[in-house]
Amino acid sequence: MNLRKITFGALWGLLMLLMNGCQPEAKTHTGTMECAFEWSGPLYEGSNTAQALIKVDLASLLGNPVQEGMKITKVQLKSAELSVDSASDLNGIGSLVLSIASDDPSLTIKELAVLNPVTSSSGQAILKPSSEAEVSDFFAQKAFYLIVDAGLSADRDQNLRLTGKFQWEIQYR
Amino acid sequence: MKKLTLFLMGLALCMQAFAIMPGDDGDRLLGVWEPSNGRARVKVEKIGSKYYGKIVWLKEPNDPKSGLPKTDMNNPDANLRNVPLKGYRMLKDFVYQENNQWSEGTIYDPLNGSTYSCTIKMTDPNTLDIRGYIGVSAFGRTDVWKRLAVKK
Repeated sequence: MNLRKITFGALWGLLMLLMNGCQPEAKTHTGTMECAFEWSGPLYEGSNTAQALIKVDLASLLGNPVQEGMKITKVQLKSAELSVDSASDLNGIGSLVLSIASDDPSLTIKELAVLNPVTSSSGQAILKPSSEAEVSDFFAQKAFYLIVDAGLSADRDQNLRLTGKFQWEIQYR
Repeated sequence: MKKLTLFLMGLALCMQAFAIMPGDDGDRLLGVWEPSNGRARVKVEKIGSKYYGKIVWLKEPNDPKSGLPKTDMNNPDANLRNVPLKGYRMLKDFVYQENNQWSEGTIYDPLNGSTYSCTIKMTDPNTLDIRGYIGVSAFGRTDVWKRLAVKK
């Protein structure tokens, strides 16, 4: 009985090894995405939301045509930068929060990065990315939303436009 | 008989007012709402086709120890504990079903960092039943939220 169990375990282990060995090696690539976020004034003190619809273009992110059977296994935000044309435009912004959302009911909104308080004189705000948020399910969709919540310390009459530059670490087989 | 007629006319008017609210049916959830404890106000917005509610006002906006604005101190992700609580989305991913009900969403309790499954039922244009639960809806708690800018 014991011998039978050992033999079965050994065979099972061998099968797992073979299956693992047959899978293509995982590759990692860092892809960059840019998009704009716009708020139309007047804006009010507190959190103001802007959303951008991102159409997933894996070939552009990976810098290669997407191969048949290729599977994205993990995607994480590595860096998030929001910039304005004029440095003074960041005045009055107390915090910036980046999130990702989808129309798919099975996917829940995730916070991806934050900068609080915003301290920048160069017109660029570098957000601190989440260490845990894994978003490969969003990249498996045709499109998703990137959302920026700008926390204003006072009312503002002018429009606001931020350009986002995001680096994603993409693992695929 | 006169009283009954007046009651029925009133009821019909109320039902008509409920029925002709503008926009997408689910959009009647948009607006600013106050939970029964009165400690926060939550603005419901739409992102894509789903509904989200973020905190826009807090009765006690600052941390009593530091004196600084409160942040999401209980977030399990240490890198995100600096997200301001004012502006935080505590209602997430609600999908409009039918009959003034929204489901598939969650509610976050910033006091303890817990997230619960949640359903929303609009009992009249200015009142919501917010039911938070773990696992089965039967084992949960319902809170009544009131609209701040009352619709007539």
